Amino acid sequence: MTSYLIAIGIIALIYVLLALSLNLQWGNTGLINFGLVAFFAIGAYVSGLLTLNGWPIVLAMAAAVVISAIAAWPLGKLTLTLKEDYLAVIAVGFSEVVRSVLENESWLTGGPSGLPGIPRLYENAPDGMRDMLLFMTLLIAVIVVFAMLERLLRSPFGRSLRSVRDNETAAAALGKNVVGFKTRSLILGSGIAGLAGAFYAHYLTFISPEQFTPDVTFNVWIAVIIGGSGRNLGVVLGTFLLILFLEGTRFLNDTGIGLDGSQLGALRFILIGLALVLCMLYRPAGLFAKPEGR
Amino acid sequence: MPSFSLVLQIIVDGIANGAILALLAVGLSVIFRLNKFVNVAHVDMATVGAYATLFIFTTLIPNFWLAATAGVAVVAAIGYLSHKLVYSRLRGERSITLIIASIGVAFILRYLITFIWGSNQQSFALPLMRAVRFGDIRISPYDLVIVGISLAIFIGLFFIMRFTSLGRSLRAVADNPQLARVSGLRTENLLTKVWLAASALAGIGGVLLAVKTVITPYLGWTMLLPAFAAMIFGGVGSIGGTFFAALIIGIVSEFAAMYWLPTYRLAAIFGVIVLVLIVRPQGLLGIKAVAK
Repeated sequence: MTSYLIAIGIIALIYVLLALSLNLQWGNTGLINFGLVAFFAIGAYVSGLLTLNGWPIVLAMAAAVVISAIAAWPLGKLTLTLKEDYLAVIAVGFSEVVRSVLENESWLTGGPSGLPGIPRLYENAPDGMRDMLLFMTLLIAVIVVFAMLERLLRSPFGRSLRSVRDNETAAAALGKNVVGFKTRSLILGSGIAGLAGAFYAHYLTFISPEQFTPDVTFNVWIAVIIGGSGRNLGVVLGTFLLILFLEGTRFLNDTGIGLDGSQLGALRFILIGLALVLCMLYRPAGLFAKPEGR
Repeated sequence: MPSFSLVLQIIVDGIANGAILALLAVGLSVIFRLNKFVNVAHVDMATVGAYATLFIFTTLIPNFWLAATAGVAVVAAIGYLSHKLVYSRLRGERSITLIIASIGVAFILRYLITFIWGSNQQSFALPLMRAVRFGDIRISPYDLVIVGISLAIFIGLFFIMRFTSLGRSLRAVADNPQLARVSGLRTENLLTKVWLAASALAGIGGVLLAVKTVITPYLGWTMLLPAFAAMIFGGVGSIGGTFFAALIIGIVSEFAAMYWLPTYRLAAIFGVIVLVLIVRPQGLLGIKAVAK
């Protein structure tokens, strides 16, 4: 039971990192990044490949963060001067292209069968302790990222991001470099998603392209939207609700409603879709926000 | 050096794919122009069309064309409902709110289909037809029908937009909604018609796509990036531009499949988008770029 809880805890914290990343991009800057999973994937593969080639894990993870962040730059360059819809669709496309590259360039990525044997963090720790240590490390990483983001968002930089989100024209009229702020938000967020990917790779020790479908992106979206876009604490709460929901619906099977696995998965996404629509219609600021508090 | 007839064959196949893509892209484009957001759920209307037709064809009406007509009517009805229940209530909201609502609608449709029919591949089981030969080039009779239908629809759209009062009103609303409203145009009425037509076209596209390939819950979703590419390449709101851009994209992706890797069609289309945004962001026949 404890090991099951730790396993869920680790996945939850990885999702918290993704949600914090999206909350910076969408919640505070208004960027519709429907391609979040691409940077999660890039982080996972970079860190996995580098450690398999003998790099120390810490260095590989740092490289994963940097490369995921850099990968966001061309995407921003291409779309951030245009209407926000462009980023939305092109980012989904980007994430699907990344996945097809991971599937096809077998010489580098192992192709559809993925990358096995990625070293764990704390390889030498005894079996029972290893996941616990990883969980603690992740928790520290989440706290550091959280604190950093909170500080950043309270700074003039954060206020500028929100002014871009709320009224781009006004922000530009006040002399803010709108595209510059958006680009920096996209890059920083993608770096955080890359960090999440690196932890994911070293926790599972096996990654393959099918783990990085757009489903991941939209799971994170629902966590951020339910938690109340813009507030980091709400988003963390939203992520826990999401994980509870995902894990909870798994047990629905045992209650004997007579749905098979794929129907259960479908039902999950129908509910996610409904939640997105209802949130946009009735509570665009999130479940935990005051109705007018944007 | 590839033979001339192979190149010609690839172009012919690309045109058939592009003719379907055009039907999906035109609705996306017109709705973007009128409602100011990219309706992500639009491509899932194609999936709805394919499954509705399949269901009607196998259980109710054994005639394929009649079943397809009924299936397309179902899509139009669902498009109408989604407009009334979701998008028209969000009128005046920022486009980010609308896009997220549309991704929600897309999920509901796609996974409702998965829930009911499962995610296995299905097909209409239409009779196989011998390809027609023109010299070294082979064309499936289905492709000829597909291109014929698409071409007829686009010629019809062109005449409606150019020569009827409906077309004039639509162009007026697209140019300046406020001015159109104070001039006495019933904007809401017009938008409803557009949603009906756009959804029906996506449904037709979905049925034709299913004739050519297989039916899965992801049938339409995989067309999102190609349709978006055709929209911006053609110029947002330009019906003729969308048609030609879709043909070009069909051809480009067919070449990518032949000389690169079939799974890199999407990457090639992504390349087209990048190129368009760098070189000509307003598209082939667009008047101005959709910058803010």
